[in-house]
Amino acid sequence: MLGVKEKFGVRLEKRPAPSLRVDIGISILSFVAALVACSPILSLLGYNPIDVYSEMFKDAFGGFAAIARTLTKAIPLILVSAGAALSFKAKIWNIGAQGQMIMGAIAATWVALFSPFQNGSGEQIALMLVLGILAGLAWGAICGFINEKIGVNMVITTLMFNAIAIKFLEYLLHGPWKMPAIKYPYTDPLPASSWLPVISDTTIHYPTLIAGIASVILLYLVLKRYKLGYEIRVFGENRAAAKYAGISSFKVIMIVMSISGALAGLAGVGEVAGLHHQLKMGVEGSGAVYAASYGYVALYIAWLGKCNPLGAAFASFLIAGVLIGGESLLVMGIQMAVVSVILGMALLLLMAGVYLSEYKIVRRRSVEK
Amino acid sequence: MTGLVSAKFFRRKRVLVFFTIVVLIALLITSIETGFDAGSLLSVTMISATPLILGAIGEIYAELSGVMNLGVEGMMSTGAILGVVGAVAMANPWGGIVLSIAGGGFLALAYGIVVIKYRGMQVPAGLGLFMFGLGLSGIIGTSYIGMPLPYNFPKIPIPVLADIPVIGKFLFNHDILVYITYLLVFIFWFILYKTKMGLYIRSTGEDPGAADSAGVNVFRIRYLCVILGGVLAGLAGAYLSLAWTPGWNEGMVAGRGWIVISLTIFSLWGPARAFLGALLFGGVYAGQYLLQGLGIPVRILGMLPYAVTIIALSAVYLFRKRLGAPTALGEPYKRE
Amino acid sequence: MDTRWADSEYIVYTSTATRTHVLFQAPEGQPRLVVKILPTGSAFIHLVAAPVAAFLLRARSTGRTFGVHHTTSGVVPLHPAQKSITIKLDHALKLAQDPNKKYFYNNSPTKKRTMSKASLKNAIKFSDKARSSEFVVQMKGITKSFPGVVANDHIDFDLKRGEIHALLGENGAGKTTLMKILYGLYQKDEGEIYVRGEKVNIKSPHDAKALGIGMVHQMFEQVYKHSVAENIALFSPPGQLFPVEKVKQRFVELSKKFGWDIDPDAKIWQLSAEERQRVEILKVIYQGSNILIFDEPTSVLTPQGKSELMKWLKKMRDEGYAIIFITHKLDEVLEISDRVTVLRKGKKIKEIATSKATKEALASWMVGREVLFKVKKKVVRKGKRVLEVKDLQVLGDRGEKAVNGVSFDIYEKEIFGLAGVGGSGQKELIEALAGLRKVESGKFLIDGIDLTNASPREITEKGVFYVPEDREISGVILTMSVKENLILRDYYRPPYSRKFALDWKFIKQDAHKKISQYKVATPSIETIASLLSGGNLQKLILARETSGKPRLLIAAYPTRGLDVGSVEDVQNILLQLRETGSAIFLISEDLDTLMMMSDRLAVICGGRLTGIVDPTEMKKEEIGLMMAGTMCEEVLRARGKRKIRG
Repeated sequence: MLGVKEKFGVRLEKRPAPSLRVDIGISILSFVAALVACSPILSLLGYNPIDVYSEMFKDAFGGFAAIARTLTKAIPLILVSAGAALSFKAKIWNIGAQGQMIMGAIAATWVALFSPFQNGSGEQIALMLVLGILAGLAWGAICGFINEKIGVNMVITTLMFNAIAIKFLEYLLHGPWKMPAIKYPYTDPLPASSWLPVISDTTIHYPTLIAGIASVILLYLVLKRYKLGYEIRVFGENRAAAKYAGISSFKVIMIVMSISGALAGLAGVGEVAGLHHQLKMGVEGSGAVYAASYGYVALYIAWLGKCNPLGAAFASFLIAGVLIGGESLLVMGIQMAVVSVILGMALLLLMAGVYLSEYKIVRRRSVEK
Repeated sequence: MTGLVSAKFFRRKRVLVFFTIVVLIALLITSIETGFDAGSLLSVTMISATPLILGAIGEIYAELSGVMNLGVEGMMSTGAILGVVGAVAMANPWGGIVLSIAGGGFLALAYGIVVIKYRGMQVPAGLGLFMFGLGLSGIIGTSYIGMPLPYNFPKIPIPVLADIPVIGKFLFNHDILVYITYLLVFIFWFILYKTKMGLYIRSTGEDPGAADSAGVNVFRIRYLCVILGGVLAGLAGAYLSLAWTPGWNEGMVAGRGWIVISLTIFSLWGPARAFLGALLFGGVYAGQYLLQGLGIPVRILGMLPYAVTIIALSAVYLFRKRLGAPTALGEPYKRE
Repeated sequence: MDTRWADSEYIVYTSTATRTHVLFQAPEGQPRLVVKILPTGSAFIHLVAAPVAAFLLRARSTGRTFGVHHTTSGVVPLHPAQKSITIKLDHALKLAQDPNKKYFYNNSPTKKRTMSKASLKNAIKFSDKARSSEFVVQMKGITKSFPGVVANDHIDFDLKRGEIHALLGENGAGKTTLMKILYGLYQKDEGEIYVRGEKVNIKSPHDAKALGIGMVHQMFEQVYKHSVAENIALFSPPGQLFPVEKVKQRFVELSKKFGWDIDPDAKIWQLSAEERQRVEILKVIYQGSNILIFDEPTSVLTPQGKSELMKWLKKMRDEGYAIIFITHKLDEVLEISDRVTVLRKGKKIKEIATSKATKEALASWMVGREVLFKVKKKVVRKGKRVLEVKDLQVLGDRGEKAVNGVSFDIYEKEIFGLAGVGGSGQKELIEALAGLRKVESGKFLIDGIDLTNASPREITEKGVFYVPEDREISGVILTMSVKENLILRDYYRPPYSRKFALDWKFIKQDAHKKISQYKVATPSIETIASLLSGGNLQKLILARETSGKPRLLIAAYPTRGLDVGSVEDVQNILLQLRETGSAIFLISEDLDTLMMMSDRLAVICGGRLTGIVDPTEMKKEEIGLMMAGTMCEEVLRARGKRKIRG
């Protein structure tokens, strides 16, 4: 019988249609499995995994202040993962979020420190946002153009652009934009006029948060109900059918890359203008080197949310918690590296887990049509 | 065995050989005239290139068999720390080599199971491997940060040859791992083009269906190549921590893993070309300090390898109809 | 009895504790085993021992060559790169004394080899048996079923040495299935297979190759980017080191021997279709096969290529190869085969010596005589001209002229059928009309508007709709819902969408209407398309394409693979469309459907139309002849009727 396997005595049948419950289940299960799989590594190094995990949870979700921190961390993740979810829905392998964030951050810094708009009116902030978004958008759109018109593989192109952006940032921070007083690569702190407003007593820069949530909802709606969203989905599912239906691949690629680039750029602006108030290495999240930048974490989040903007948003919050929890581990003497290990393992298991979602367990004998 | 290394072989490489000789002569003359120490420059070039070429050979094999492994940075990082750990534990740098190879291999095996057996998507899985490997190295390395390493690989100049001006420093005055690398490049080039196994590997990535019907075990070949990729990436990392620095520091791999991946494509999946490409990238590293004197900002130069990759690839895509990428790269194989 | 095999070399059969090898003699052009008897000295040896050994081994003193290859499956062909075995005379003489001597093999011509006495005896016994069996392949009572269809129904088939046996039938008759069973790609459900007199169980192509059976497929198994030598080395690796170089030498020899000049370093993608086929043939011969199966080899060839191939096949046959030639083309059967077996719908209809067969007889065996008129068509007078095709020329994927000057018209309220065996150019013609393939020369007009090389969307807007051949790949998005698939064509215009938003309310209503109208069996409009059966998918596509009164509907193989009920539904849908004023271009390989449904029927062969006829006035076998290339005039001349102009 086609599509039926026997494994461990349990009959597995090929599942005909994706089921939301199963998908969510696998996402959660793979994450939990990663936590379990990383426990031996922790204990080998002398730490009790239960302690570690509970400490992480407490620091991320235990109490109002903790949740506020987590939410702050979640803002860039929500933005970038929404864009990533969109790209992956279209099966476009945009892994350039890191570079796009950096360019957005650079643009915002330029406005804040070097542009003529220093008067502290809303104009400055507006300009920061606009230029930051445009910078990210352009950074992504160029990759899209190269991919579609020249033909170079999207993965490589975006990777290269990431690296170039990092180098550019390094250059600026060690060179022309360096804070003269010290020998570390930081810019001057951004003037207060350029700071994004935050919810009192927290670090939550709410404009970007609102923008993030709005984008998520917007993307979700567009994908589900609008013409463009339909075209993007068809393109992702079956390029031949898309061509046959008259959907222009150039249009889809450029739009998707522009949107995801723009969102990442906005995230970059948020980090600089809303949180750090200074341009520095690691602004795009890789400051604590091992957590890898938000760009990559957000890719995982997109997959965790099954490439659906809403799912990605929920997952962003949870993973933000993981990141925050990780930061606090320094107290225990463990590094942020643990977070990287857990997330990496989780992504691997998630990818393997997709295979399982193709099958379902059949208990009783059912007659095949 | 006629036609093995025939005149035809050299005819094709003639341009490259010619070019290399010209460059070397130019450097030789410059150094004599102006006291410019071309030898040292080339020496640094070679040792910068070593980890790149090692990683690239592994990734080339993996990709030629059809599997793209984006986790090189993670495997190299783990290899680096395991190198230190092993060296300390065995009081002998070779202990580090052994451990790093094993570590890289295991990581690659895990990746292989995800993408080959479970047919997971290779791009995200590779990134997952990257994050995992990077983090793992960080955790293990906590207690080793900045530890001075008495067990490492000293330079071993080859007598007579090491004294040749310029060339001597370039090729013959390095630690044993570099010499091993020369050998490995040759061996893996040979295997790929002159043995049955190499033919099987290349066919698996090109057309796994045809290879399957020829009796090749596609899955086994892919596993082997992916694991080899891990082994060599681990070795590359160990080189960094046992010969280059030596020692362990957070983030010491510094993006070389991504350069390895670009190098793989830039070299159009050929070990010999990758060696030359690695020298190019290594030259950029080495030349940084030199060119700083010329007023070009260091880090703008640092962009060069990546920009060059894109430009070179664009040129290839635009002018050549068939790229050279293994046709089945990135697609999981399903036996009907 | 074929004397060529009798008077050349012997067959030697050797065995060791773990392996069994049969070494074949082979016809000219193949590597063969050398058993050289080296005289070692004394007169006794020269005068007595040498002839005795020669007698034992039945060797000629001229020393012909055989090659040897190890395998665990039993019967082995020869590998060209392997050297000879040399048995020293004194060793040969020692055989009787030392029954423990095992057979060993190595690659060097100078090392000694030994055979056990029992082996030798067995060898001689076996060779007698093999030489005496007339048939090199016998298949008895082969039955094979796939879900829903019996592909082979108790078929008997045999093959003699030195003959070309053609296997004739339409698409789907079961010819390829039968041969795939022989080649080990499929497993038979029932029946027996004998090779060279021995009953065998062929579990995989590996076993088949070991038995000396090689198949030249329609879709070549070649790695596109690699060179010829690399491909040969992949399939028949001569050892671990330097496989490509070793293969090159031998390959050049081999190809010269066949009169071909193929550069072993040439990449496959650089070669023409003919050259690629030659490489595939050489690949098969290089493996040591002497039973060759060709699956529709002429479908990729030009006329010159075809005659070259035919010449070559005859030469091979004369040298003793046994060849099976699968085809649907009657001319080829008559030109080249010694015997022909005709299959139809899985059954063996007839086996006959070609010299005794006529074209007409073959055609009638191939297509059968029954024509079923199950559907009652309303008589409708055709309306204005909708499609005008003038001298259309379209290139195929390999750059050949797939459509070579085709002209016809289709009118409103008419079903215009196109019959032809697969690969005659239909695919390219359809794609050109749908805007998916470039037209090289000629043009086509819809309602007077030239749409040659227009984009798919432009063509759709002029009212042309297309139900594609591979519905699951380009027709339907299997991972999306029925509702979303239904709008694939029309989503971008009102009333399905306004400006940027899709009007889901309307879409849902419309979807419900369509699925009931077209009888698409689905739990709901939200169901994922992959859950639908083939028949329902087809109806879904039809529903999508035919809403809104198309001017022209191009239906490619709409009933392929469908169950009887769905076939009827589809036929009814098409007939209804016809009544409401659409022009329908129906392409199918199901001749019964075509003859029943078409108002006019065109037949295409080799990129050209062999005629446009009224199916009610033609006999099925006459259509069959036209499908095989006979021009309509000839067919009609045969019965003296007036030709009907289309």
